[in-house]
Amino acid sequence: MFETFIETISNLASTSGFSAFTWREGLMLLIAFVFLYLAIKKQYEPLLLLPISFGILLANLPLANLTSYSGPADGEVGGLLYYLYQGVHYGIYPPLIFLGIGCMTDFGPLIANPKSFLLGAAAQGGIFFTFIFAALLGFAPQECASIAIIGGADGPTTIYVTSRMLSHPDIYGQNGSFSIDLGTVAVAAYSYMALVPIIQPPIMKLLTTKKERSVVMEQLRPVSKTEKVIFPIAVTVVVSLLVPSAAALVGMLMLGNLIKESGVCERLCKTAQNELMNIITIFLGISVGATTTADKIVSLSTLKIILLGLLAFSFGTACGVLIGKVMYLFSGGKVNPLIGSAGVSAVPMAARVSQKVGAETNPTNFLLMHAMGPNVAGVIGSAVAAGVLLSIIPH
Amino acid sequence: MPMSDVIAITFTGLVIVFCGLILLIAFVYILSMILKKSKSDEKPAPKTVSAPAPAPVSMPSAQIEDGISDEVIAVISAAIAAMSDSDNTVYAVRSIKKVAKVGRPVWATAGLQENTRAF
Repeated sequence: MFETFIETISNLASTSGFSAFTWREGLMLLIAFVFLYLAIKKQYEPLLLLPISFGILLANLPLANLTSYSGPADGEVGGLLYYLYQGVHYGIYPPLIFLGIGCMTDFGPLIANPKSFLLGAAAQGGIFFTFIFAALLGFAPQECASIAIIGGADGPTTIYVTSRMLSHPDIYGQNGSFSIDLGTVAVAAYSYMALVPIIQPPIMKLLTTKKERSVVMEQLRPVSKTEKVIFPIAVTVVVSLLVPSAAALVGMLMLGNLIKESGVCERLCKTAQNELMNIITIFLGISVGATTTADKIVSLSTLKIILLGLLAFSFGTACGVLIGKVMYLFSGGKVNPLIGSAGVSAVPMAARVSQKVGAETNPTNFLLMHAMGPNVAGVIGSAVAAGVLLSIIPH
Repeated sequence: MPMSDVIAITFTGLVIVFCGLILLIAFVYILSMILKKSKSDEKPAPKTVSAPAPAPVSMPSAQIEDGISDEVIAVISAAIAAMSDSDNTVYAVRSIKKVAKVGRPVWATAGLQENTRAF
């Protein structure tokens, strides 16, 4: 009996996670703990960082079979997170998040001042210029696109593009030579979005004069309900015809907005912006977190992603502010260039930064609503840029 | 990837993004112009012969039960104003009084009705 007891215990020990625990798993668990700390204690994008970091934790528990790539094998079913991950792999979750965002977005400031679209387009320069730097650092085209899209400052768009570009070799049998993974890119994107109030102001101040920063803009005109209802329909048609790859993101964003602006689907609007979006956020966060593995994180590529992500945000901010300066010149000093930085998306954080920096120069200046125009234009702009990357680069 | 391809992708990407959003700028301008024009084309209502303005009707002040605070009155009035705004009907507050608490609270009833209402 004693021998049986010892044998059972030793069998249990050999099949437990402790027996397979290596320093790599230990490091990943440590990274997960740090992110959990940042999410809970520092409240850095907690709604996403918390499930992402818990996904990292679960995926790196030895023998738990909980990575997003633990597909069915040898007649066994796959792990839980493998099935949840299919919503990311097939590009289902990010457009559904966009549906909820559409229900919460007011495009009124953009319709009142359509020139804001230029600022939203300019800030996408961050994506395309970073693409060049990523290529210079030796990344493959698909990796360059995945890293560059961080500059769109839009989490769902980043995840949508990256999941399309990087298909895991273990289960999808593609070329398998990628040195980066979805989880690292997503964590970098969300980290920088949380750091927008720290990254943007120095660049904004560096590129503008005190006179430019103190420009008080005219009040926006009121926008009729008819305009607000026609706008999402028109944007869907125009953008989808121009860049069909962006249709899923833009279409769902605009469907959400039409549900809101039509005023006849209050129940759908409430569900899309609350319950549906919360459920998808949990699934998205945990399955994206579970894509991270030690061999991808502990590499030089991670450092490069962190560096390039910062570059992308900085370039995007600078491009927006520079086009803002051009508009300042052409409008005879009526446009405050600070609203250009809001073109990087990151709604509404980037618009708040424009307001804050403007108020530092002139405390009676209220730029928030003027900055919301480029801010929501940036969401459309980054979705278009994502569509362009998906169209041009084979994946 | 050759550098020429990288530059080409960057340039093409920026041009397409700008083109797309410039198209949208044009569309929004055209839309607002059409809507403005159709508004101004609407014939102004024929001027009625100026009749003497009706004497203001003296409204009896609403009867407020003791113990109801100004904040509660303001909230009730605001809720009614919001409702009259959505259905274009003007409501007047005649009285505000407390009702005896019987059975399910009124907010719970409202929630129940909303959740069980047919599509």
